[in-house]
Amino acid sequence: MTVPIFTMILSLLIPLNVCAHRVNIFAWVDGNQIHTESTFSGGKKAKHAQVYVYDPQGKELLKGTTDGNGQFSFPIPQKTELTIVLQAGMGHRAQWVLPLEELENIPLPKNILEKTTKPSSKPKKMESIDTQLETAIDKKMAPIVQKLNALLAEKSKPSFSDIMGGIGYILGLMGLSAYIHYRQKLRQISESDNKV
Amino acid sequence: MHISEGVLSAPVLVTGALLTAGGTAIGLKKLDFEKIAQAGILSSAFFVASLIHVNIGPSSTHLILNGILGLILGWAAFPVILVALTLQSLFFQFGGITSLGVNTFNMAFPSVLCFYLFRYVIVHKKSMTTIAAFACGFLSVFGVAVLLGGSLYLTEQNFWEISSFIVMINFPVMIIEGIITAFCVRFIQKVSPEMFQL
Repeated sequence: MTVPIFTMILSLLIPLNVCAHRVNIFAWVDGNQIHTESTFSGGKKAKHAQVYVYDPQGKELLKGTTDGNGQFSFPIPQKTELTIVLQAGMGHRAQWVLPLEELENIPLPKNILEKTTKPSSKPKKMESIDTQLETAIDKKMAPIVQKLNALLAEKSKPSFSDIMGGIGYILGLMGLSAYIHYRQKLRQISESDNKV
Repeated sequence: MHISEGVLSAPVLVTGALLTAGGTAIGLKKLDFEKIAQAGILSSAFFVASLIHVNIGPSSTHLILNGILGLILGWAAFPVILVALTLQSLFFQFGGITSLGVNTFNMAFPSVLCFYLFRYVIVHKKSMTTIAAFACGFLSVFGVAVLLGGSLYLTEQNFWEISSFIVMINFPVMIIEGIITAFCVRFIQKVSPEMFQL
């Protein structure tokens, strides 16, 4: 008797993402990093889900796990089109293709920057400007990224017209079956009339 | 409870599609014209039920209603669930077109099982109705969870850890579904008991 009660309590406690029917993954490039954010339909974060990154040939480049906010970041593994696949368990899967164009706009890596600058300028200072710039851009970009995510989450929610449309189709199928049924009946009646 | 596209391997998808095709053929044969209206309404209910989220603790699951569907429709649960799942995948992007066969089988087969297990008791043993209806709702979701775990396990071994959690995590939904089924059956028996007659 205690076993079912125990499993029930356990099932209430285990923080796993279950049965949200649909997941979304959203990826963007920021500096030399690629950030991903994963959410279930309805806006719940996909925590501790597996993220796989593939090249255009389908070769796995790297994999990781999302954190408590459904986010996972990794350095750009190579400059090709990247397919980022989220596996959130129980058959939930989503993917996001990061096109080559987005990756080409990344700033040059720091060591190249250092080489091109004059020897007099201190590399350390350069780096600090770089990081400052990055944090400033991050700050400016944050509301846009959040808005985009909110938009994506909104889009994944079924709308009222979706629901009504589905019910309409079912009613239509009912009508179709009624039509077929009565056509057969009419044919039977007309056949029996002909015999008479 | 919906398996997305691109998760399962081809043999599992094909097997699911074939089983669903067989079940749907039997279901359509057994579906009389008199039952079409019921089938349509239950199909709509199934279609919408997936939007009713049950938030218990950190997990969020949804109603399936395949128990009550099986009790009323029997084998006709197959075409009814197939229609509703097709529309769910088109309108809500739940599941996917290629995994439609597997998803339909996972949800419809427990319905048919419940039909054979509980129909007799509910129709003939009035004193047992509530308990049987609760068990029907409970076991129908349990069946879905087991089949879901099975189809994931057949594809990739490493899904197993997650699969074993499925049953446990869906425990609250099983209980809620059991209660809803019990209420529905009691209500139908009072209002129109002929619904359970074939």
